Amino acid sequence: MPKQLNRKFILQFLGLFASLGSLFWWLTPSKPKSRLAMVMDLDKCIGCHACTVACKSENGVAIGGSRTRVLEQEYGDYPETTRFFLPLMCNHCEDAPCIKACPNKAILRKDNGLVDINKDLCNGFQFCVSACPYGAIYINPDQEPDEAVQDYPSRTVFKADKCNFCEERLEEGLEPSCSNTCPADARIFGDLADPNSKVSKLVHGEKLTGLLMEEGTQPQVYYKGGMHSIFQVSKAINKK
Amino acid sequence: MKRREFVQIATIGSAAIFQACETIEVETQKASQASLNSPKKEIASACWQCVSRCSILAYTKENRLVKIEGNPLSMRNEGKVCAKGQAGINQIYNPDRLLYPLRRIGQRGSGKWEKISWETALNLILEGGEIEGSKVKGLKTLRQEGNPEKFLFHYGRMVGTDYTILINYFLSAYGTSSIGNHDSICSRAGSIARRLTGDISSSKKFDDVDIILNFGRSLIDAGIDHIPIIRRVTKMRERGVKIYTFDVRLSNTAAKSNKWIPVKPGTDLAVVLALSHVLLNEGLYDKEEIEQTANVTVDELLSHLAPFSPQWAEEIAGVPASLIEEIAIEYGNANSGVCTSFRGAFMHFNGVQTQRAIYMLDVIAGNIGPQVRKTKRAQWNFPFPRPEKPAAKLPIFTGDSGQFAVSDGSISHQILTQINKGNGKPELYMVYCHNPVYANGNCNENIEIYKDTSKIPFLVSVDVGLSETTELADLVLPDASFLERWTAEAKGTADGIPEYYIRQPVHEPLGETRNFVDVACNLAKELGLNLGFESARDFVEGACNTTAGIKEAGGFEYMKKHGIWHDRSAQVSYIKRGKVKLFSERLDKSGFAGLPTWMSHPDHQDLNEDELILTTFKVNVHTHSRTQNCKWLTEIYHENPAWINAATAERLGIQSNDWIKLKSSIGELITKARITQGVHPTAISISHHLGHWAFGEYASGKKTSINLENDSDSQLVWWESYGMHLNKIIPNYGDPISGAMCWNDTVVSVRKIS
Repeated sequence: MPKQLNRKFILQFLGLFASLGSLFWWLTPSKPKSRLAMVMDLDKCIGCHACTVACKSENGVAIGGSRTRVLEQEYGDYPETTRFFLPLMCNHCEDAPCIKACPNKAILRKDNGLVDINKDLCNGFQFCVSACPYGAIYINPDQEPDEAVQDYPSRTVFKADKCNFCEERLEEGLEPSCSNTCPADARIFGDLADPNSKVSKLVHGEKLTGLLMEEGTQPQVYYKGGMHSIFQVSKAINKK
Repeated sequence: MKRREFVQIATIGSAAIFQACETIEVETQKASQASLNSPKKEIASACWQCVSRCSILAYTKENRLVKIEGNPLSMRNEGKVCAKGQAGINQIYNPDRLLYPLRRIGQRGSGKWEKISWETALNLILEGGEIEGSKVKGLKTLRQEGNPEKFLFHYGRMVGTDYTILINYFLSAYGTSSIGNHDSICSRAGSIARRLTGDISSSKKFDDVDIILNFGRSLIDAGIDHIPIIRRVTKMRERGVKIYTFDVRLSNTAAKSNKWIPVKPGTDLAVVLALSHVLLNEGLYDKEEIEQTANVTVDELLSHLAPFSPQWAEEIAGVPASLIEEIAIEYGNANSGVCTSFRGAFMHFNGVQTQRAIYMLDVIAGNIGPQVRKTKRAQWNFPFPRPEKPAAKLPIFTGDSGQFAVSDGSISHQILTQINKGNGKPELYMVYCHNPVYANGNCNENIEIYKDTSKIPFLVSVDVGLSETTELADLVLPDASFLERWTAEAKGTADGIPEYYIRQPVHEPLGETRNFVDVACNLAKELGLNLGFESARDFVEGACNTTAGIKEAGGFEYMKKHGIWHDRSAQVSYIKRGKVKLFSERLDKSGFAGLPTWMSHPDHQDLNEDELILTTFKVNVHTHSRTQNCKWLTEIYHENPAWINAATAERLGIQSNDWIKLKSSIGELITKARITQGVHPTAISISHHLGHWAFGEYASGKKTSINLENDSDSQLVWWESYGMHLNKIIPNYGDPISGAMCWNDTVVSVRKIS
């Protein structure tokens, strides 16, 4: 796996590009017609990794990369012990640090709320990887080297990759591969702009929360059940 | 973006060790890059990564499998499929996939092979011939000499019509009943207990109960009906059903239960007896109903269970007496409840009695009821006359004479030791869909026996890769993967409604691989045996076209299109049974307690300070031995450290990630420690699955000599550990009643190594 860049180093660049990114965002006109989101029901998640493999398979994710993964953590003292599971993926943040961090404007938030990487514009600087507090972006080790990048002849360019809610499936009217196969019904995908959708009812019906809310990213992946607070999320996501 | 879907299997390089290896091209895998927009084809088929065998939809592009999803038509898996099932793609395009027949060069296990044609391979099997200078006998000769039983067929997890055709037709027609299975390393203690108790099923299903007592069953981790059970448990939890899980280890099932109750290994029986004791003492039973249900009186039960108080059980199992009382009373007062159990409870020295005690508990709690019955299984119609089952059988399937009380059926993990003792000599030993070297206990002994050409003159293995057993064979036949074959399957839904489904190929078998069922049809023909059908496909077609309901729906054509047929409005049928035999005359006559009673393991008494009881378990992304070649699964699970309770670890001076040495009566192994609050202090718990030393690069970290060098992922493997295999230090013993492997009883001394 390519090493991630030093966080401090990234922050300097963040300052430079953040203003540009957010300006772009604030200028985006009017309310979107749809706002895609996912709810993770932590009470239901059984840590079976069906989603992990569904994603690998659907999106051709190479060994070493992952668009989604499931962490587990033991909790409590014997014999009052239990174990929690925490599925992680791109949070499709309303205020996405990755968008701000990318000097090439290769990451954009679409009208439907999907935060997507334009592979044609990505030249593998990895600022997004470091900017994402969720560890949701990885550098695809399987990408063909981009020989067109003349400025950096010594580098082989591998591009950033992450969850895009299986956009190709959405276009076919299918739900993302992960929620499609979740045998415990723990992943619920849908449109928050539709008040009748299951996600709307869940998000508006009870107090759900996102991960690392203190980062101010306004994540669009919502977590049901308070178990994620037990995870030392920021610590855990940096681990393999 | 989808480049990886089309990783090429271009050519098979001829490794130096091959004497006559031509470069062959795998037809379906030419170096074409399918475009993203190429049309997707949907094929309704069935999984076979694990025994659950869920219904799947396989998607292909340009004749290459790109995705596996659940078939939404299934009432069993309801459109879902697990991690293992989806990684089926890794089986079919595995870089270490066996693609042509091989004949051994040099000694058994030398790792040197000669690629041979199917014609040569089949000729060897039929006519015999020479393997490295030694003469071996073929199927024709054995039959002509009047010794068909000297053809030993040893299979693993083979199911559906693959089983029907090979066992009930081919081997019967040939004339051998020398057939080994994997029953005794799987769940034999449970099935023998059920048989001794009257072959019953509970009248309560856990889809409509309020409370479940789970003894040692990893329902949602690795249930025998994996996804269908997860679907049922998910719905149950939504309904607020209470689940109490008694287990040595905090399984994911235990974590998702209302309470995990840790039990000392091998003592579930004590807890179950005490639960029954409380029900009787508290008057939480219906005398008349019990006496109508079982072959004992309540007075007999009262006096039998009197000594087994919760306080007594606490001493033995370490479960607080107050908790046993509390749970028993809750169970007894619930409107409806049921017990469930599996290997954790019954693959022990006292496993048969444990399972029988669980039946006793449910009889007392009124969960079996006087309508003693068994759900009728779904049954295909096979329109081909079935040959009679032959009597000819080598005497190697029952353990030593008199060793086990119920030794009928198959003590499969002792076949090798029986051969070694000279109790039977198979001239032709064929291993199919099985890896006994790795899957049984005492791996090193297994290897030595398989290597002995005087005891096993001709060893043939039919496999998809060079597994630990296959690498010892004289002749290796490449099998079609589960995604390249025809099978008819039938299983019941949660409600007991029969669901019929088929497995059909996603494309032709790769390379020179052939579905072994078709090979057997071919062998039968050469032997002059008339099976009545030509191939697996023929057989499945015949079944589809004649089975009531499916025939009317459109038969084979309907099944090819939809994959599944069921009648949602079908009435569940039951087979009426006699009274539940809580008192077993058979056990009584064999010198065991007729009523389930406490049996303590002689080795578990007075353990030394450094001695722990080794228990095993399965995780949710692997089967026991056959999925570790799947890269997506091994990327998730590739390390199996030993779970040790934190208090025990402190006593032994062991810290997390320390290297430790485990020593049993047959050997030692070195592994890492995982210190946890999630295991009983007297246990040391290690999962199966890992520590392969063959089977290919993803399973063992070592490419086999037939590796295709065609998987770009192989450069990207980031993990360095492939775990270790604990079966090496577990003896191949059996419980005294059923002969089932005691997976969870081995005493090991544990110490930190520097």
